[in-house]
Amino acid sequence: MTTLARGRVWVVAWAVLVLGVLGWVIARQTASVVAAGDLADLRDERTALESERAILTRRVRQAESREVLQPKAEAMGLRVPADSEATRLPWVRPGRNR
Amino acid sequence: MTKSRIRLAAVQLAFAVGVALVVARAAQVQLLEGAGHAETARNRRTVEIELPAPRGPILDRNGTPLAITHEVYHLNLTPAEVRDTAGTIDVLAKQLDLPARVVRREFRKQYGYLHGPYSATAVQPLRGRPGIHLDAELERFHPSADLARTVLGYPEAPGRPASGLERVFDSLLTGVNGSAVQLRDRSGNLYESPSRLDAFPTPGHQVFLTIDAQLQEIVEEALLTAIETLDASGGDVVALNPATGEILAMASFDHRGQPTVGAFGSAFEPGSTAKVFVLAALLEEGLAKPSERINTENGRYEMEYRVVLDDHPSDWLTLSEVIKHSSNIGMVKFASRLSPGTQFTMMRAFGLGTRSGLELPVESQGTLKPPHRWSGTTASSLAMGYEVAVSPVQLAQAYATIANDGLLLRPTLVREIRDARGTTTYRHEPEPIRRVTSAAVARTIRDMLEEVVLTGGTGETAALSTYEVAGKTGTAKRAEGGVYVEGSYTASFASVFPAADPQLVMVVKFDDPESVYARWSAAPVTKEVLERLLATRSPVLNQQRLASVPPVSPRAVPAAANASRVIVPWPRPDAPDVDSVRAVPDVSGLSLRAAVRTLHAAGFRVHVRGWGTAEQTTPAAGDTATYGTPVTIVAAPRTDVP
Repeated sequence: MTTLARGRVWVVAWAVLVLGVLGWVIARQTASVVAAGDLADLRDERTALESERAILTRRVRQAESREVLQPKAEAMGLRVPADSEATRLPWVRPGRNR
Repeated sequence: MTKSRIRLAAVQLAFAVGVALVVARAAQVQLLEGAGHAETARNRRTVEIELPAPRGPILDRNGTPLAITHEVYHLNLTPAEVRDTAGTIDVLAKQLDLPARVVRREFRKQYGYLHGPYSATAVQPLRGRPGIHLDAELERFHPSADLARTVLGYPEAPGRPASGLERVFDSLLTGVNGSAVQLRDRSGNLYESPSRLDAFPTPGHQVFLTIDAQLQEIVEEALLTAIETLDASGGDVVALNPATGEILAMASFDHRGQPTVGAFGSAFEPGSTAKVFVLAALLEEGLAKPSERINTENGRYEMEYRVVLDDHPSDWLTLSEVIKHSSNIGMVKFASRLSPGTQFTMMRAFGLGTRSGLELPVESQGTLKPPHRWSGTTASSLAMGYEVAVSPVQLAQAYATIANDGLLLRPTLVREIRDARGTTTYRHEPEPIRRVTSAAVARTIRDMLEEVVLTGGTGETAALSTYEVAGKTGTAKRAEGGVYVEGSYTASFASVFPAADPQLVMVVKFDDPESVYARWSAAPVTKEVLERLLATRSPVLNQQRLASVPPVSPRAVPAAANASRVIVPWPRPDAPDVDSVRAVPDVSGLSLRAAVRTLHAAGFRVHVRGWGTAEQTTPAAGDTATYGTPVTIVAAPRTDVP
């Protein structure tokens, strides 16, 4: 191989290397922008879900509140028991000496 | 030197000078002004944004959220960017639950605006749509609606100062905002850039209150109903754990049902509920005994400066009966044995006239005059609960001292504080302030207060048929502008439950109720709250301790005669001996259901791993273990060999 030919090979090799590195950098940048977009979408979704959870928590608290349950229970003929109507069991933890 | 060589040298010099100028300029731009140019370039293509940190949540003692922060949105509309106007209007109206005409009106403007605020769920489908720009804002949200609203308060907002615990713990609840850099193109569009996040936002601390949401709800409901029924101008309830000083529920409402700060922010003359302080001084100083009798003058006693009257006239009463029937004459006569200094010191020792130290921005310290400012009637007035003013919290704190064998504890509303990572940074421990009375004197007072809630006592309407309640009624004239108003009273009832092993101290107070006597207003409400609490699974009461409390004595209230507490021995007498060891049965080859039943019947707890047929157990079949030991069944789907 002549000196001229060897020189062209080197130039081409360097050019390929430079283009390769540039392509790799661009690909990584593009991927990071896409990932950032996905991350933002996920963050938005999480915010929406947290908001929904807060609203549902309020609805659950409201639904299980005495204000809602008591009229329904009374409509079914139920009432708050007098203290004499509740039975409490002295409890002994299994495995302990009685 | 030839002419051509001179020209060549000149050209070379010119080139050299040119190159030198370029290099010098490059050095100036890069080295001297580089930082400035880089900054300008960065500013043109990037935007620094602040990432707001959510405010920390406030939760009840069991972790039920009372105040949390979530993101809400306002919408900025740019109609010029929208291509499908009709479609966008339809979507907006549907998602935001707005009439289409309202949205259409905004689209006629150059820049429209829908204030909302709208939830993240509502605006989720609108994200990224052309012409719709979301403006996020963090909003304080109360999942339990108005529960304990006065205690919680509000964070600061434009036009509204912070209040309640939100104000006191503002520095802890407020998080640390983060920051990020976004990329900007020439059109001004922003793009996410993950490599440019400067700092994550750190949420605020989590504050766990001592409030129990379930008891708070019971208290608020009972109080609101009673204010309406009694036609009272307002009312307060404070419930606390005497062993720790933790406030379990605290509520105040006016006659319109609006929350007020009455429980801690205003003071009232307690009337007869203050008789226990004189009683404590008498017993502590050994100046009277519970069985000591005194002449109560058949209900009318003329003193030098005043006439003292009893609602229930009697001739002779013991000290116990003076408390039970709330005799003013008896108490005034017994109190005359105390020096002003002793009487004042005891009342001060119970915390009267000083702030309790509750973690709230405002608290009434009440009124208690020092002896040098007393008039000729002050000693007798104090014995009847006049010329002294207390807040319901102070009264509850004082009664908690009696329930806590004479030890005064600082009341608190905060049980625990955790940072954003969940690490506990503060946990409340009971804070003793001082010993007010000996344990023996406190127990004697409790015994005497038990009598109040038995048949014939002024607090008998608070009696339960299964547990003895100790308490004291108080009915005091109300003063307005320094003058007592005829027919206007404050009715209060301070109670200790159960009397034998106190777990709860409660003060119920009504302003100007139609039924003026506490026995017909505050005492029945106390009973109602206790009954409702006993009917719940609330962890506020230690059920094991409650089950060990001795049953109501035969001398108790009429209701107890017909209803006795049912005590079922547990474990049942025919239950297996929990301490004996037994062999783990062989359940291999059984269906999972049959295997679980077999192990339960043998007295073991069961954990299951896998599904299908039981293959083996841990501990293995034949091994011995004690009652209640967990046994793990390893199961796998049956593989029948043809």
